[in-house]
Amino acid sequence: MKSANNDVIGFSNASTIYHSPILTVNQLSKSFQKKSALQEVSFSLNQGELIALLGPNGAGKTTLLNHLIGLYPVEQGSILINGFQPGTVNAKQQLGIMLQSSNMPNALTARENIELFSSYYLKPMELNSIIELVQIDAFVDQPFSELSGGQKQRVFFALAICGNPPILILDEPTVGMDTESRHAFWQVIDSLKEKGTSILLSTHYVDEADRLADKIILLQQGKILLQDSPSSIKKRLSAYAIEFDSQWFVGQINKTLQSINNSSAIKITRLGHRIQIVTTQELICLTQLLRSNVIEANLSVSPISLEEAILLFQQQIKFQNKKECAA
Amino acid sequence: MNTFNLKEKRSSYLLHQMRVLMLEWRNELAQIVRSPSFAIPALIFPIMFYGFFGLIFNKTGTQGTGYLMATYGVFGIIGPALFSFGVGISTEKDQGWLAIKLSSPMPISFYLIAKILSAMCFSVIIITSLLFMAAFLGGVRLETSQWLLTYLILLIGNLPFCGLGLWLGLSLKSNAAPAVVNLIYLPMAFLSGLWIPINFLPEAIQWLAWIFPAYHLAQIVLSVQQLAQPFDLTIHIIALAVMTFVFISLAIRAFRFSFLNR
Repeated sequence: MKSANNDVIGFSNASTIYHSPILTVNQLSKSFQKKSALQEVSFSLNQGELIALLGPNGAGKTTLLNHLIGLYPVEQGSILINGFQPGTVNAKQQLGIMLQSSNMPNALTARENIELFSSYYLKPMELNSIIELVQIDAFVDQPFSELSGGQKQRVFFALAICGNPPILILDEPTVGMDTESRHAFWQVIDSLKEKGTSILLSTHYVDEADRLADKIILLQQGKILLQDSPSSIKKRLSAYAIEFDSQWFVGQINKTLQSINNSSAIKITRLGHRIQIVTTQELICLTQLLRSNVIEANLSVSPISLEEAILLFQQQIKFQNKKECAA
Repeated sequence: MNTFNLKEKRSSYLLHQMRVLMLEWRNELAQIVRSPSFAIPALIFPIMFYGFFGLIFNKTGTQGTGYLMATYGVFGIIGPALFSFGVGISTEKDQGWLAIKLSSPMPISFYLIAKILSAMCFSVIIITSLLFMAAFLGGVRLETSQWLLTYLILLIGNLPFCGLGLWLGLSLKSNAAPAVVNLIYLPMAFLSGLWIPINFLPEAIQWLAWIFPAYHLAQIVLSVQQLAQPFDLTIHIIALAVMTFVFISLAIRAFRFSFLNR
């Protein structure tokens, strides 16, 4: 996929971008038969900003997106899409959508569907520009059934951007893409952002969120647990990975570190002889490990990745919930 | 000046909408034509059956040929409507394609109109073939107005079955839809007297036929040739209108359940 340039995108150029909310979600709640799917979710997406929605399966990501695209009616709370209520034609004109695990009619080609979807919008991109940008020229006239998973994803991405909308809603867009296609996809996303397109990206890939997002929203059981920039999250959840060789069992190490485990989240994993301990209390942990002679060789201590930080945070939340339940 | 601008805007908006509808229809038609497993039986079966039972093996003369032209016409138009809506929509719903369409700025009515127009294209081919066969091979002689009225009723007669197909498509899973549609289509065709004249069937079945929209449509088409059963035509028209209303109401309910989650 190529970078979008001014000619291709035809959207406002970078100098005119101003950071004001283009999409606002306020106190949005939703229940399915008394089971809460979203609880007072609030956030806003600014022009030219990318928000990554993270969370385990069933966290409420798709429910939230279904509200934004007008498939679910807003029952509690409010949503404004560039000033319009979701589900209205005006709101839909603002959105380009790529939904999770979709399929299109097998007999149709990408060209036929892009032509159709472009016609829905008032100021669509040119067909050739889309084909070039998303790099689908090799298979644009092939029936959809003959395309690979990654090629299908690219066609769906082309459908999402063909209308040149100011907001993109992408639900797991890189599933099925190979590494090269993923990186190319990221480049297109970067260039769309530069042109002022706002993007809400739901993904399971934390590295993708880390690479692309200006803000990360972590959803769990319908609640927003975290809402911050990737760098702030890393700082806030400042933790270290202690790695070393050891013959000790995970259970034994766990027992040794019980005092830390009771006060804060800690994650111990073993890969062969190698033990990895992720903790927010690296000094106490190291002292304990050295005192107990757990570490046998090759000790290394390094700051954790965003993915590990989020996993640790989720574990902390689980730990707290358990504690509250027990109390 | 302002009125001129307004007119210009309105006409460009209409042109834009017309283009969307045309492209929607083109894609819908291309999709059906490129699926030979649907297109060939839908076109061939009614024409072939009429050829066998209405022309070759028909021993009842031109009246029987005319009668079967009307009933096989009904049989022919039901297939594309039921399958295009019933099977097509359930597949697109389960694929997530319908959700993408619904969340796009396209008016949802265009999606349905494109499907109706595509089903009607098939109907046009089927009706034209049957009427030509009846006139030139079967020796059926009717007034021009009777030919036209038969053609028109059959063409509009698509709509109740589009409604039925829409309801089935929105309610059924895609893997169950073809079987269920066939389970409705074929027994309904037989019990409504589309293959064998209704008067040849046992009396109980003749009364059972009243629950099927195909029976009422067949009676309306047959009334053009004064071959319908001796009941008031208005009853059949009202019955068909009520059934269409019920199917569309059920379809709206199924749509709300599937997409709006309420």
